[in-house]
Amino acid sequence: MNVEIKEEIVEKLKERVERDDKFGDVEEYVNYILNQIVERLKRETKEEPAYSKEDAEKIKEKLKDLGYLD
Amino acid sequence: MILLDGTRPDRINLSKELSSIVKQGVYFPNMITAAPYTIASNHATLSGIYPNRNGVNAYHCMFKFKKNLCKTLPEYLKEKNYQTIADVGNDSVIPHQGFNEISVYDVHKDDLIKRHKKIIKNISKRKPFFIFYHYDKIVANLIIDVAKKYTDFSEEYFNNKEKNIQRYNRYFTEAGIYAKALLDFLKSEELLEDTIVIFFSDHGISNGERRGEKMYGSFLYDYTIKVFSIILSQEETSKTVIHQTRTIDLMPTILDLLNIPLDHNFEKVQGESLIPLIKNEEEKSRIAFCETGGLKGPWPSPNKPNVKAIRTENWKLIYNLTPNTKELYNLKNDPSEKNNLIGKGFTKERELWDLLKKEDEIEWIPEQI
Repeated sequence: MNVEIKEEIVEKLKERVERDDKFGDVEEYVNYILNQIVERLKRETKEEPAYSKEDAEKIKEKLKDLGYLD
Repeated sequence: MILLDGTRPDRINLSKELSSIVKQGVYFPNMITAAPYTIASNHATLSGIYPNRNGVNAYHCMFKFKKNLCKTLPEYLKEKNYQTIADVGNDSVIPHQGFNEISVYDVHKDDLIKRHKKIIKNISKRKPFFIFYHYDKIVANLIIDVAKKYTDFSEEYFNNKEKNIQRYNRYFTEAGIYAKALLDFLKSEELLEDTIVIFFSDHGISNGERRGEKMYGSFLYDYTIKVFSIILSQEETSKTVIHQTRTIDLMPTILDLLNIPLDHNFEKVQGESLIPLIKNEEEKSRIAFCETGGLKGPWPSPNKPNVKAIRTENWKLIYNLTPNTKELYNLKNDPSEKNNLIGKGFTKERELWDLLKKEDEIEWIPEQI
């Protein structure tokens, strides 16, 4: 699969690649970045969903315990 | 780590015990909290990551810590076989990740000095150990004396500033007695030789400085966002670091002292080790970002933060999303933040606004792969 990347972005990626030996070329660096995003997304989707009514009650109770709510 | 909840650095000298502890360690009197209320402040301190990235950025987000993205200090230590325990006034005030055990005391019944000495005695048989103690008596007493009695606009409260100061100072000095008792006990148990002890604060508390905030959590003025930390370790001698630092710097500092590298498979830690400042290898103040959303006050926002600020050593810009106003203060000339310089042609206004936008920027993440 070929993906076109804007020249200005390629230049920035090149700068990073040339800084040390971590990445062999721009393609390797681009794959690394995309992999980071994919891994992050995987972790994000594992996060708890939005609050249920039960959660809202728990929050209320905790705030009461802390003395913030009557 | 011993959290002295609600302690202000401008009162340290009132406590002979804390003044004495300051002289024994590295003191950071110009530390800025990531959020001026315990729940968000502690999640940021223990992850080294600001609330807008770790998920706990509002009172109602107390259970939204991004545990799969953010690695906590106790998680790092547990991996290194530390026994990790916490004793707190309420278990919602810290992230649970990495703790072997979290116990909750009754602030109005338990003797915290006795209780915490006993825990040290027990856990020190199983070295190495990490303890997080939460001294909550100042806040607990002020909840009764102030929060339950007055509104955020009470004439009686705001017209009696001297009385408010005296009340706060009395509870503050009790916190000093607690701190010294624990430190003396650690000494008597011969644990100080190979233990790092950190006394720190999570937020300050109003003494009636601003109408609209009787305690903390609604605004971002210095009386609640300025905190302190004292680090005692065999490796560091007595010193005061006057540069501005941040509570998010504590976690990477501890890892640095223990030679534990950051795990780059997790969200980037935004705090930076304080060791270069201690060793004079770094000579500048750090820029601090802070945000809050009050439970009460003039513009409550318990679901998401609606007051944000950026603070340099001498300047602060506050952005009140509700009611959409900005405030700019020259802290050197105006430490009480009375003279709002916004719109008066200062170049700092634009500079700080750009910094605030940058810090507040949430990383873009595609919704679908």
